[in-house]
Amino acid sequence: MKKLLAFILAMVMVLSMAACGTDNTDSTDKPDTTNAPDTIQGSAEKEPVTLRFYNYALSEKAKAAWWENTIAEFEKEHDWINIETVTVDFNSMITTLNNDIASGQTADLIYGENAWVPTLAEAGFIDKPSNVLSEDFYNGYYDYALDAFKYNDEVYGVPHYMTNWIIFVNKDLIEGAGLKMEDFPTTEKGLKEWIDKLGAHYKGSNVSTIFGVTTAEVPATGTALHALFSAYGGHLFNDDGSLDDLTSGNNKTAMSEMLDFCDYLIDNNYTQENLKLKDYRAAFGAGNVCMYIDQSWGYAQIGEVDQEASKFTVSAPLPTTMGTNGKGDSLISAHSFLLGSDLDDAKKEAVDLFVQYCTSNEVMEEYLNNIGLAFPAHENMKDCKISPILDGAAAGSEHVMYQAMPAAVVSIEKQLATTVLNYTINGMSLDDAIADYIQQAEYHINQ
Amino acid sequence: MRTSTKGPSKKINSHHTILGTKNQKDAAFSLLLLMPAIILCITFILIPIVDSVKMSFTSYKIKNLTQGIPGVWNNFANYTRLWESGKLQDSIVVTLWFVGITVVLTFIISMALALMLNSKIKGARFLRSVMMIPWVIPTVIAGLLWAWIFANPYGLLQYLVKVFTGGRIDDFGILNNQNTALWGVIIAALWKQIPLMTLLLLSGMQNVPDSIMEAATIDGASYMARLFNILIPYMRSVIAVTVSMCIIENFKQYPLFATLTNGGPSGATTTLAVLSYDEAFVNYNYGSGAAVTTVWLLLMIVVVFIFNRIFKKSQD
Repeated sequence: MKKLLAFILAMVMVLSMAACGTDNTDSTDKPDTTNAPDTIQGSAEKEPVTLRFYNYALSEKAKAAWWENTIAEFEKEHDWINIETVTVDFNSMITTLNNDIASGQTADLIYGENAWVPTLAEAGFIDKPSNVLSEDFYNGYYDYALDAFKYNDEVYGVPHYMTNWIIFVNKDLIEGAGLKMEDFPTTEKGLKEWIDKLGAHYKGSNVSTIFGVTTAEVPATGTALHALFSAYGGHLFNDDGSLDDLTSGNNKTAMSEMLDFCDYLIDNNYTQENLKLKDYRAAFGAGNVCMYIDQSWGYAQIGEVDQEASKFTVSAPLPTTMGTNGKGDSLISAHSFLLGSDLDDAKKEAVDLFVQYCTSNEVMEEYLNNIGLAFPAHENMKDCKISPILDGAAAGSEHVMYQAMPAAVVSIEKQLATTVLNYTINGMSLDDAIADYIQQAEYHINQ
Repeated sequence: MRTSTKGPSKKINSHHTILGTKNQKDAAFSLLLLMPAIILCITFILIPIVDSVKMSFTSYKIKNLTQGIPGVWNNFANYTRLWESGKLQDSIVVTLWFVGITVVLTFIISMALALMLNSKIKGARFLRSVMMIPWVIPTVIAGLLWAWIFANPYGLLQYLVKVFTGGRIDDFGILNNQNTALWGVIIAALWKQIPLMTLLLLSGMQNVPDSIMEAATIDGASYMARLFNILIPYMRSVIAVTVSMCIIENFKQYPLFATLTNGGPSGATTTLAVLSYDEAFVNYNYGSGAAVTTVWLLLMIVVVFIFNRIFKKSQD
C-alpha cells in the first residue's frame, strides 16, 4: 500500500509538471473574431481578420487610454478587423517578442522605436513597409523621417510621429534671472554665457540643474549623446554601419568639444552626472531645472509631475553653431509602426488601414498637443496643429541628419555615456577616452 | 547424509534467492520512484546546462534563435573576444568583490543579531518577526525601494548626508559614483539577506545545549571563550550551510543590479550576471552570453568547493 502510494505521488509530480505547459496557439487576450459573431455581423463581404498588435505605449498611463479609444474607434469603422493588443513594457519588448514568436505566436504589428529596427530586422520579425502599405500612402512619408528606419540600405518601419533633440526651458526661471526667450542663444558660446548667468543667479537655491544633459548608461542616454555629438558636427557611423574614424578631423574635434561641454556642466554642478532623462523630467516638472536636452515627448512625464507645467514650459532648438564645426544637426527619434513579416494579403490590408487611420490629423491632433508632443512625419499630418510648447524648437526639426544603424546601435550609443563618465569623472585623457570608446564600439560591431 | 547435507544448503540458497529477489525488486521500485526526479533533473537542469555550454562555443545570434538555424561552431572565439575586451576579467573581479564583502558582512551582522536575539532580551519575538520583513519583500521591489532611497538628487540618503554634513555635501549620489556604486548594491543586498541568515543562525544557536554553556560559565569561561570554543564549533554545520547558501545567492544576484545600477557607472557594478544578461539580451549574442554563464557557473562551483574544503579542514 505504501509503495502504491509512493508511486502515485511520483506520477502526480510528473503529471503536474506536464500540466504546467500550455498550448500557446490558443491563448489570446481577446477572443478571436471567428468566435465573436458580433464583430463580423456588420461586414458581409470581408472575412474577419485579427491583428496581434504589440504596443508598449499601452503600458504607459499617459498614452494607454488614447490607444484603447483609438483602437475601439477604428474597429467600429472597420468591423471586419479585430485588433488584439499585447501590452509589453518598453524595455521588455524585444525579449517578449522573441519568446512569443518562438512559441508560435504572431506579431502582426509592433509599436516601438526606430532604434529597434536592426534587432527586429535581423530576427526576421519585421517586413519592409513598402511590401505592406499602399504605395500612395507610403510615398507620403518625409524622406528624412524614413531614413531613420534604414537598416542594410532597406527601410524597415514607418514613423507615427517624430522628434529631433530639443531643449526644454523653464520660462519662469529664465525670466527670473533677467533673460528673455526671444534672445535664446544660437551659439554654444552664447549658451554657456546663459548657463553661467543662471548658475550664478540660482546658486544655493532649490534649482538643482541649470542645464541638464543625461549621462546615465542607458540606451536613451546613448541616443541623446549621439545626437549631441552630431550637433557638434560629428559622424559616428559610416554608411555601411562601420565606425567612422574618431581619431582625427571633424570627428575628433566634435568628440573633444562634446566631452568638454559635458565636463564643463558636471564640473560646475550645472548638471549631475549619471542621471537619466526621466530624472530630469521629474525635476523639471517640479520646477527645479532651468533647461535640459530631451525628446519632445519627454513632456508627457513633465506633465505627470505638474499638470500645469505647460504654463512655464517652452522649448528651443539646439544652437546652430556648436563648437568648431557643429551646425546643431540632430538625429531623429520616432515612435513607430513596425510591420510584422509574413503577413497574408488580408492582414496587410488591415495593417495598411490601421496605420493610415493613426496617421491622420483627426486622430492625431489631440495626441500631439496633449499626450505625446511631437512633429508630424507624413504629409497627411502636415496641417496638424502642434503644441505651442514646441513652437520654439520647431525650427530645429529642419536640422536633422541621417546616420546608418549597425546591428548593435543601442550598445554602441550607450557606450558614449561611459565615455563621458570616463572623461568627466574618472579623469581619463581625451585620447584614452576616445581609444577606449573605439575599442568598446568595435567589440559590439564585430560581435 | 544426503538429507543432512542437502537440506540446509537448499534452505540457505533459497533464502539467498528470496533475499536477492526482494533486494532487486526493492532496487527496481526505488529506481522507479526516483525516475520522475531523475527525468526532471535531466530535462530541466542537466540538458539546459549542457546546451548552454555547447552554445558558448558557437556563434549564436537572434537569427539562429528565431529562424531555427543551428549555431556555427567557433571554438573559443566567444571566450577570447570577451577576454581581449577586458570585460570578462573586470566582471569576475567585481563579482568576487561583491560576493566576498556581502557574505562576510552578512555573516558578521547576522551572527551579532542572532546572539542578541538569543540572549532572551525583551521583545525578542517581536523583533524576530519585524526583522523578517526585508526577506519577505521580492528582490525587485527591494531594489526599487533602495533606488528611491539612493536617488539623486531627491533621495533620502542624499538628504541625510546633507543634514549630517551641515550642507557641505549636498550632491552625494552613492550609485552615481563608480567608487561607491558597488557599496550601494551591497547595502541593499545586506538589508535583504541578513534576516534569513539571522534566523537560520538563531535556530542553530538554540540547539546548543544549555548545560554545556552553563558548565563553561561555572568553570569561569569568558563570554568570548564560550562563543569561540563552544557556540561556534557546535554551529559548524549550520554555518557551513548558511554561508554556502549566501555565497550562491550573491553569485547569482541580478535583480538588485538591474534595478539599482544596470552595471554602471563605467562598469563599476558589472558582475558576471549583468554581463551575461547584457551579452544575451541587450546585444542578442547568445553564444557570448552562454560563454559568460559558463565561466560564471564554473567560478561559483570553485568558490563553493574552496569554501567547503577550508571549512572541513578547520573542522578536522
